[in-house]
Amino acid sequence: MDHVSMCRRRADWAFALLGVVGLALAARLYSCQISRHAEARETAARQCTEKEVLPAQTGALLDRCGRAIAISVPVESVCAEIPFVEDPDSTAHLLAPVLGLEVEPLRIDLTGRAPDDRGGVPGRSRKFVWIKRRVTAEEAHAVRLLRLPGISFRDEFRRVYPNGSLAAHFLQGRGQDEQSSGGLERACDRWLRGTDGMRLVERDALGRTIVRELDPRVKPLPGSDVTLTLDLVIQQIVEEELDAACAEFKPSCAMAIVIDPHTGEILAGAVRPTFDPNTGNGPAEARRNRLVTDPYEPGSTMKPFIASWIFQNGLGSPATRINCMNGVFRYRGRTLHDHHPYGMLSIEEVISKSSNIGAAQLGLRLEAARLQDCLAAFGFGAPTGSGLPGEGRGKVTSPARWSYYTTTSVPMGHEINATVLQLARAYCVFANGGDLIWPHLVARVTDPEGRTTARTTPTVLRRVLRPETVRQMVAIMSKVVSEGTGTKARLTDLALAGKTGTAQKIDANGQYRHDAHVSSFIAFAPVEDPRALALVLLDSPQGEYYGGTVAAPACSRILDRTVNYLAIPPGMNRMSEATHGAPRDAHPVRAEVTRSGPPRSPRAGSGPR
Amino acid sequence: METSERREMWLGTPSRAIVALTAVLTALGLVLIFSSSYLVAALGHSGNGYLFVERQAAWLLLALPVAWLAAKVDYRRLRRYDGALLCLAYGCLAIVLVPVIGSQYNGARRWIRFGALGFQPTEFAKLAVIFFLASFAARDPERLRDFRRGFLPALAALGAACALIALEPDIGSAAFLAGVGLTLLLVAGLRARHLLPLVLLVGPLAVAWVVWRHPHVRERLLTFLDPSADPLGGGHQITQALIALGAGGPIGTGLGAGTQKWFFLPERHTDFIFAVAGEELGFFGALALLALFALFVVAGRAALRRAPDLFGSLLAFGLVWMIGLQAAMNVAVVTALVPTKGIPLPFLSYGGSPLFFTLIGVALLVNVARQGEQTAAPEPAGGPEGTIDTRPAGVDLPAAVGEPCVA
Repeated sequence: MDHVSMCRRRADWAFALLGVVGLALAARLYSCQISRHAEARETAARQCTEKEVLPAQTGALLDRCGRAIAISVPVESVCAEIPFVEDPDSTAHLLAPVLGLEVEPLRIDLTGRAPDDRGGVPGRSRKFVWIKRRVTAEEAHAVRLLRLPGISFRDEFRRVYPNGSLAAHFLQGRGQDEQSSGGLERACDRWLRGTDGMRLVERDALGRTIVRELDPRVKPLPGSDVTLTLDLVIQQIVEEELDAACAEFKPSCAMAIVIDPHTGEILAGAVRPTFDPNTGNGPAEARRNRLVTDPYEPGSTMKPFIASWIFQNGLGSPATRINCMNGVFRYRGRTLHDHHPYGMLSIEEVISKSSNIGAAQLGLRLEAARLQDCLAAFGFGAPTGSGLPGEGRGKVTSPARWSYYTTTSVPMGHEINATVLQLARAYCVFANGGDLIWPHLVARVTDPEGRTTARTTPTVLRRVLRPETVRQMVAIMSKVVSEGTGTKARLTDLALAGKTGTAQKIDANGQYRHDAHVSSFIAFAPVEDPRALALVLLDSPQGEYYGGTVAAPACSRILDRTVNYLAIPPGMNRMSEATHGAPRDAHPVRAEVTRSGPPRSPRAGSGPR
Repeated sequence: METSERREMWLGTPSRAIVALTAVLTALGLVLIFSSSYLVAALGHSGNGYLFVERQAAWLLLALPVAWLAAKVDYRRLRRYDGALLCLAYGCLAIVLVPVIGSQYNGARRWIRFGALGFQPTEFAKLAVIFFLASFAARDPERLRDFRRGFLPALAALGAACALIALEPDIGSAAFLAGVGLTLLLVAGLRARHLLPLVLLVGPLAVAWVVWRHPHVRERLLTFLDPSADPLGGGHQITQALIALGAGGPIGTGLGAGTQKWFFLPERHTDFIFAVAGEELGFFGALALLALFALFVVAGRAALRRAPDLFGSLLAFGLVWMIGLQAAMNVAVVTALVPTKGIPLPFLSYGGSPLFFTLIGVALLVNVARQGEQTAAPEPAGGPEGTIDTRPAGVDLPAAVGEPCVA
């Protein structure tokens, strides 16, 4: 009896102790679960939740008529969640042939080892690797049939350039993650690029996906479409003619550009050597948009500016006689030569026969200060503002370093550098009645709902020449084609005005070479109301080297076909539907566009499937 | 005292309350094991998400008939096997140390494997030691107060079992069993005068030896003192357990909706299942779980108070104390109140042997309660030992096995 009650008493003490412990545990639970709830919930969420980016569709680049130049199409990429991969060895052996990959690197990837520690040192292991980005539908299907654990797909977009290398240098292309690599893709990236979406994915401690949200938390927002001023038909014409010229004269490089001289819209531009933006590879030499990056000495194409400035400043008229020294002009110890010796020439003849000595005399007549004004007025040494990445500004000798030679050199296009775009823009002054325009490539921006959110208004930067000066210059430049150095550009049914250029190249020592030239020709048509201005430049052509022989025929064919394409009979009014959105019915393609509205790029996969 | 003994609990008689609580806790255990282990098992080699639930259920089915027997046969008749059970426990504990037989896991030999079935002698030994100590102490309570004749033999029986368990090594279980056994002896009448010097002298020595010999114990202690020092290493378990509990908040993420079990929390369906419960059921759920264990102890105390004899009282105390203390220790570990040690939560943690022997223990407790309930109407015999003698009872054996004790 005594023992039983003692047992009960002592047991109660023990149970009481247990009760106290229980109360302590309850208090502890309160502190763990209630007091530290917010902090712990956040930690728990952070260690198991990950954001998965849902790429947005990049907007399309369209030509002025709405034809696709660059579009993004939904594709799939093959990836591996390493913790789910059961057997890296067999997975690699099955996967590699299907995707055309090598087995060994793939096997190492599938083990999750970082690529930099292939020596067998267990490094930081990766939980996710891309196997192959942007596979074809056939490849994706074949991978699906394999049903390999841990191998999955991600929706992405592939940038497609349906016209291949057409206008490649303006576009430049996009890299692996739709990153623009330059050109218009970069210049327009702020419009083209959409806003990536996001969805939450919950993973276990080993990085395996356990729960994936079906609906994105943030929907991806596609980018806007950008309508360019380029016209694919004109672009095709330019590429064909440039190819023909290259085939004939085998230059080291060649380029051509077509601009609407009134609006500054760049209608086409091509560079050789070229590349395919679809593949995204090729030497940097071939990718560079030399139209805006490479400075050239303009050579004789410089002369019309000098002449126009003489007229503009009242220092002479087209009939003013200039002494061309019978082909040899000694000036302060330097001797200038003409290809053909001339005696007295009118300024008109100095241009049309392209006399260097005559140009030097014009420079001396203008004097350094006015010459500098002239260069500045035509936009030399200043960027054109085209917005293309990497655009050069050319080089104009600064007044501080201006020598007495400079005054004679610049008028014949030496001691000055200009990009092709700068030169073309400066010639637009003659073609459009005296205005310096702003060359541009973007016509308008259309958001995914089809609303136009931005529109380019053609801008005149300043008036450079008086109309009568322009008329005088157009007449002179028409003569260049009809009876001067550019006769090979002459067309039977279209009147052109243009100017040839043949510049010696400078070697590494700064000496002018006699064996390498830059041959160019600039022209616009029709003369009465120019619709298009074209510039063709061939660097180091083989065989012939006169601009009038090498570049003029290609340039005139480009203008001929372009003007025909534009279906503008001489004397008709201007067209600029790309900027004003009111195309005329003059052209069947445009008429169709008007009826149906600008074609939309395919949006089949704008949301993740 | 009589009135309190006669008073029925709100769940009915103590035995019914114990059975009901055990059923609720075990069922909850199955649910929580499913929730915490499904992903682990589904992503494991078998690919079967129900693997652990199935195994636990199999053990449950295996335990039920044995437990039924252990509850039906009068515990006083089982008492004669106290020594045999203890020897059997020693034998098993010794055998598991033999490398060929004991299977090794995490550097310790704790299992004897029969094909797919793994058996932990430690769990059996706990029960056998409690059974023996209760029996030994009840046989002659006065003897226990004698240092040489009572104290030392009891201590030897307990110490041998603890030592064998410590050799596996399973320091946590050995220390736990030592604590439960000594408490039982104290309740049985052991003089604190005898025990205190031992605890003061041997205790620190044992701790020092363990810390010196077992680096992982040292690590756990250091981790306990500063879990944030190495959150990804030793402190990982406890850090993740605290995150799980905290993430649960007041009402929890909902059953099955926790994320900590996705390999973040180690031992999620075994020793740390309480953390999963805390995350998915929240503070109130965890509190309810604690309350269930508290009710279990209350019901066990009622069983103890109705026990017809001292042996029954001591046995009931030992069993209730073992289960209650184990639950408290487990929750204390999960809530980072004491250093990590491998103590499962009774009824809930995944593990065949613990569940099996816990249920047998509960069956014995029910047994005591039922005998008390049956003999409660007639006033128990005045003697401290009741009506049960300690004579050798070989003759009774066939009858004892075959004879149902329930009217």
